[in-house]
Amino acid sequence: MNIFTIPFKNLKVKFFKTAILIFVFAIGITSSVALNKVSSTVSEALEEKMNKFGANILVYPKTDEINISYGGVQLGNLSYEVKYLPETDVVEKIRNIEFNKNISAVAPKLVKAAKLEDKLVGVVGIVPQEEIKIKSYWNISGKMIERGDEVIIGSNIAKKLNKNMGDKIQLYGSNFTISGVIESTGSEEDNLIFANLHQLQNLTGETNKINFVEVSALCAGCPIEDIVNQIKVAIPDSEINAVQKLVKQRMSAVHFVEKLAAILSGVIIFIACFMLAIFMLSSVTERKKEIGILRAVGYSKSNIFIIFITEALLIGIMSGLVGYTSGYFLSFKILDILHIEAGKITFSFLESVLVVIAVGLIAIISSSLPAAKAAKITPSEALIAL
Amino acid sequence: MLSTENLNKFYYNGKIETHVLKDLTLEIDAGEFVAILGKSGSGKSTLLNILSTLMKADSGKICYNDINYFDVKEKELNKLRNEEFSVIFQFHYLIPYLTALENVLLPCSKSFTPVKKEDIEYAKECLDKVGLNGKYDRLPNQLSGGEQQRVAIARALIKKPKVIFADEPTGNLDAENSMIVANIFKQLNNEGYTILMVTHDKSMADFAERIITMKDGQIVN
Repeated sequence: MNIFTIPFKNLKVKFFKTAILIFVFAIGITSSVALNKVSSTVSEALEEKMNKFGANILVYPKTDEINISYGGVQLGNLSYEVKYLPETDVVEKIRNIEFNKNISAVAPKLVKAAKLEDKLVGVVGIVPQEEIKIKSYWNISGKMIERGDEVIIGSNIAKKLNKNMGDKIQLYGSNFTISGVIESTGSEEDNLIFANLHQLQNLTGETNKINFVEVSALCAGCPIEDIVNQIKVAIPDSEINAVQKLVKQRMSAVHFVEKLAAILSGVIIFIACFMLAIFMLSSVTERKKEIGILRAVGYSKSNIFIIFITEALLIGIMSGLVGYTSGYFLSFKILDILHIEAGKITFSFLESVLVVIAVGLIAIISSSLPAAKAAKITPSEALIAL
Repeated sequence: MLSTENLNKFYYNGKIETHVLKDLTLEIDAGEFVAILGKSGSGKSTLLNILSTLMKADSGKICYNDINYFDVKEKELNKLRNEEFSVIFQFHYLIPYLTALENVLLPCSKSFTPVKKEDIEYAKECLDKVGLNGKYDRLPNQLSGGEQQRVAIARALIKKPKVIFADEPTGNLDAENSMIVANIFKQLNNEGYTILMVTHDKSMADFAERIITMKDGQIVN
């Protein structure tokens, strides 16, 4: 027997009251844990889906001309001069910005026109291993470009020219093998031929020249605006602003779910804490006689405070354990209802311990006022109550 | 050992002031068995509560050996209540969810470390002394009123106090149990305990060596 015997036995003897309180507190923790797990999974799923739409930063040469476009029809600008960026320099500078760890792909491109069987076609030079990271939505019948003499072609061009995987074509006087056909994307990519960038540069005499670079930097918690600014500083002769709005929209969509979950969790936990405080306060009033007995046999104010705080801590620990476990299982059910794969949710021992500690601390904070009130009761006050 | 000098205590109920103890001067020697006799409202329980440090006086001087209650801090008073004094009330005031043994051990269990084995043994001895051997694990509601009061007496003995204060200890008991309790007090006094007992029952007061009679907050005899 020691000072902790009193709070332990008191909670045990008031089993139903304690169980109800733990249940209510645990509901708060369950909701918070489940909402947190669901929101992070939904965010990841959302981000993953958005990433499939391609790059989010476009870097292209700076121009003083006015772009003319209306109703989605690009009319180019009032200049026939085509501007280029130096490939190695631009790629290196992007790769070396401060937040380079957040950049997942840097895909430079050179766009040229070519004659194929007396028809004018667009040929885009790409770096295959970078391109595939950005174009995860591409479904290629066949395979991606692996060698310099291989190309992949859009679905429309394949249909119009009646070309298939394995066919040979001639561009700029060189022979190429079609390694794959990109299934319809519904975009201008359906009308293009994609070749190895360096091969295209060599054949067209545009060594180290590119028209633009697509950069993928979307990830949870990415400082996307800083990345854009850092690229602007690194490559002053470039324009980057085109997709910033889209980036902001994507990021705000990702964070919205998390913020909503955090607010809801906060409200639920606040209500749970309030309930615990009310319970402890009524417990102090109810147990004035007991406090009187303890003070009469020499218990100090701090002894009384410890007894009430220990009770709150025990309730917090139990609620944390029940709440985390049920929140973990509830998150699976919610994701199932939302038709989102819950594969990424894992039971983390460390996380559960941290949740239990946090809930214990919240319980202590919530009960500190009632415990202090109990400690302030003087023996004479308690005697009047007796 | 225990003395008061011009002790005053007031109760306030709104603007109404009641002078409960009026310049009360008293001295109790070590080993004495003193009964404070008086009618309801005479101030005898207030005096006992003040002497046992459960209540504060408004003016005057109260000393236990060389310790003046007005000069010491709360911590010292807690220590006095825990180690030097014990209080037995009219009602047993046991904690209902603790066993008889645990209730007796309460004064020893205010630290984080478990109660010592020798304290447990002594607690059992105390329960045996008041005739409750074999009832260590009974909860208060499994004991009779007289037995509950005897558990409270055993709790008062656990720290081997110098002074036992008893406020109407037989007020809630039948004649038979009152006699048992009174005899226990007599026996404890014979063992060297100083006992200060408040009662309105003359037959109980007769067990004491000295009787102090109080009326309207003053000692009249």
